[in-house]
Amino acid sequence: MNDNHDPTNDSPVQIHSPMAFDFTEGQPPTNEFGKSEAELTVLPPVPFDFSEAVEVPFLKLTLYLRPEADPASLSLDVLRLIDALSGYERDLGGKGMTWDAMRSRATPGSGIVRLVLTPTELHGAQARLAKLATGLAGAATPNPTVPLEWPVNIPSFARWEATVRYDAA
Amino acid sequence: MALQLPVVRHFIACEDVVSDGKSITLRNLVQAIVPLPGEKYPLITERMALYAVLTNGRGKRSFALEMTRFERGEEASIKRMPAREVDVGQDPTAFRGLPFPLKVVFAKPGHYTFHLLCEGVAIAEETILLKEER
Repeated sequence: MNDNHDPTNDSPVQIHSPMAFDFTEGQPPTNEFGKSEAELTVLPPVPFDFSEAVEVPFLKLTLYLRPEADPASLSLDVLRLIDALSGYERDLGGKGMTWDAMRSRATPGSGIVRLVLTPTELHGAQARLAKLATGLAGAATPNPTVPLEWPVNIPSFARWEATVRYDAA
Repeated sequence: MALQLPVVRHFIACEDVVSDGKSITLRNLVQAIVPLPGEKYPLITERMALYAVLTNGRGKRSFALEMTRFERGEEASIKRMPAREVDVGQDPTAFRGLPFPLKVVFAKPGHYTFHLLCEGVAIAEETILLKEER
């Protein structure tokens, strides 16, 4: 598939002339195929009103790997970090954090992993996540001013950044 | 044994899903929304729908939608709707069309991705662009 160089282009769909391909190499067609039409059953509509949607605050972590990080240890270090963050969020009154698989990504070769964590308990979550982000900022320095009990050994990362997103609009 | 989830064959944003009982028409596929002159954000629309074609139906499943707004390619907000139970039938080879009429508030211009979740797992997504005011 080609890159879309102008995703903001909202031109109408243009139907091109059909492009026929013949894979038979001139051989005559066999008898007609048996038909097994797949019927489509349209289920009753399921309406959603997004004006009633719940805003989900989330913690976005950017992890910078050490060049010498051991790939075998990396996955365990990520799990340790998520486990520690989730535990601290529970200590603050929440019900833990979930790694958001569909919004987390790693760019191959960049040495950067972006993780999105969402809270299980939404009530008061924004304040808890803000404390977590502040704590992480402190823990990312050699002498953290915020004494969080992170796992003592997360050697895969040189540093990390944390931001909390919450769109009240 | 893990719960089997439906397989999504299509997931499309459109203005409306019209069914006459025999055929289905997706009216005006939505790729981008341009505010009319004078319209200001937030834009509120009741003329939008998502349409999913599913197979591998195995009874009742919970479906939910999440809407993510992006700024410069980064997630800026997540809005979550509570899950709804839908019976997608017991024939895993059958095709089921599932329309989701939407009322949506678009707070700001940008890209918006709708995630279709089944039993809490994302099974499809569709992205549309909300353009700047003119």
